[in-house]
Amino acid sequence: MAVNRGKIRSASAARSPWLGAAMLSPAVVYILLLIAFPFCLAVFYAFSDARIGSSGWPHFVGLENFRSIVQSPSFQKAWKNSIIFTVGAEIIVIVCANILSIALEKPFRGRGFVRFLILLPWVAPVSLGTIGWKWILDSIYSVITWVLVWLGFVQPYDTPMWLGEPKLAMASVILVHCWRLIPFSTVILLAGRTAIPREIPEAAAIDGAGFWRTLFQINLPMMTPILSVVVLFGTIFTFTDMAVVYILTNGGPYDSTQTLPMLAFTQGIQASDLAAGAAISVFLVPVLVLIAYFMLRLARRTEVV
Amino acid sequence: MAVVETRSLTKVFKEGELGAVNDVNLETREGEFLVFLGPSGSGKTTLLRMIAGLEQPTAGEILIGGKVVNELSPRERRIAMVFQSYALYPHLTVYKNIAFPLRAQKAVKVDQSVGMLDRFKTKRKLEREKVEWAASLLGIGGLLHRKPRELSGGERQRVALARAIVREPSVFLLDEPLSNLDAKLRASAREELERFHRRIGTTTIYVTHDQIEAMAMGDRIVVLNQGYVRQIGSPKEVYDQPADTFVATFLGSPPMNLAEIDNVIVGFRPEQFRPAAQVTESAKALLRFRVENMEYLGSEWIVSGVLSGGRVDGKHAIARLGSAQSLELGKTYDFAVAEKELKFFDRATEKRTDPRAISWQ
Repeated sequence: MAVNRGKIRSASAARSPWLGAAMLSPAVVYILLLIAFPFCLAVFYAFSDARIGSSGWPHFVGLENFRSIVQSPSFQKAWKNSIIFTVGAEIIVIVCANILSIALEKPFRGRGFVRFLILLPWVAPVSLGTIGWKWILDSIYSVITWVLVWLGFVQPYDTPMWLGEPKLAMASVILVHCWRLIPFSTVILLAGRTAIPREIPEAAAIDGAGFWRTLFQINLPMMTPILSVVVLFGTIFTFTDMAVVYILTNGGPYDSTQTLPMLAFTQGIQASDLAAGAAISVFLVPVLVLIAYFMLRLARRTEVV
Repeated sequence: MAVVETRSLTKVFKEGELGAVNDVNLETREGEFLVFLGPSGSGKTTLLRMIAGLEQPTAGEILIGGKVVNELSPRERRIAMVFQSYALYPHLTVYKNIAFPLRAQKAVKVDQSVGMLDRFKTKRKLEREKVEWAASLLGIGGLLHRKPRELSGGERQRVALARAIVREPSVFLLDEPLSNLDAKLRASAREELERFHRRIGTTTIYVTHDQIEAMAMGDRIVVLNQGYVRQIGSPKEVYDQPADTFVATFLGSPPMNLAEIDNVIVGFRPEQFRPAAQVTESAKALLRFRVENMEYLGSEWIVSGVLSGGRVDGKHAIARLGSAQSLELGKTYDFAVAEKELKFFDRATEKRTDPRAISWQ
């Protein structure tokens, strides 16, 4: 009986090969339309002379777009800014997320509520949060400036222009981005930390290791796989992020916060040079692939247990 | 080497709840192998963790080498501990695992007058010598380049021991180090531990729930139950002179038989409960015993059944016999216990009392 039923089922499945395809199609359509198609289109544009509003099919121009963007000073500046933005934000995120995860590891009264508060920036929509920050960093209404004036650190007639001075603007953009990324990194690091058996740091304490030695020689090395995931995600999020920069500074002042995704947007959409914008975006791909490759290799090599 | 002492040591985890460890007073002797024995939840591990400095006592004092160490961190107590799970550092090689305490405690000291590079070199050389000494003591010299995940359970245990002895601690704390090994390995590891202790002679506190381990290894045994010390004594004392009914039934397998008569509880070991003809002493208690179950264990028989007649009618009892071939299930026989083998406990306090005359009928 059982054998028969199995045969019947497999026979009917063989008769309708479309069922499997139909079940799979939503995912396939989603990937094709929203990821593969735009990606291929971007690659196509990057090698063409496409412009918004031009008539007829674009022409193939080889590596011309890449040659011109790599030579342009604005690209070189954006490239430098992107690296400062990413590395700066990542360092702050890793340090702060580690401190927070250590602080949140041991149970205390109200720990659940603190965890909830820390996660808030991550669940808030990026545009809303950033608009809030735009007010906090405003040239006239900034609460930070008010507090600094009240404490006597700055003079009321000579307040810092958080988003108006090149160095302060970059620092502000990095700060807001950290505010967004720290919750996520904290939660992942907390998970990694609680996965370490309690007896191992205890053994280290008995062996005579203090706080720093336990942190750097025991806990962090044991967390390397999860740490590299945090760094990988954070790097890619930061490197490709545009929302924070766009809303806070729009790349200014004097291109001092212009990052590569921002530049691709300004050149490709706002300046109608689709081909140049696409070339900048495509330029990011091999860079990110390399970062991902090395991070995943590190995670695999340090797999401990 | 040092003596560990606790004075009225108490640990209450949650206010209002029963203490995990209650008013424990004990003192090790120099170079002694002291065993904490008790069922799970008896507080033996909590007691050990307080001595190690991993748990803060609620009340009482801990002394190591005559000094109160309550406020000292684990590293300042100069103790070594082997955990149940061994707690080896999984990302470090065996060599670095063993060298870790040396580096953490800066145990390897060199002359400050020489140059920095030379100092570093001699430091590493001395460290290597110490690690190799500890490794050879436990026969793991060939494993120094492996990672813990590439080791068997027995090898891991030896690495944990090597890591513990390399800094020559004043006290050794072992938390059920054999419970992760399979039965066959456990017997040989036990023997090895005993030999190891005889060789290094460091004061050792050993936690176990296994009475065989406790009896075999301990110079003295501390029997714990529900956070209270029930008895401290040599294996022979706790077995032959149990302080109360808990100790009497916890030690020995099968446990001591107990029967209430008047206001005393009378106990006798299963191996003392034999057919009347085999009990040669003239002063003996005669009991009728109906056999209900017999287990053959190779070298001995475990015979369980029910006492009948007199004031102990219906009481369950167990006998341990060399041979039970003459016995049959369901039949009643004359059994006896020599009177000097009877133990007496007060019915209210369950503490041991003096022998007294009782009438069985």
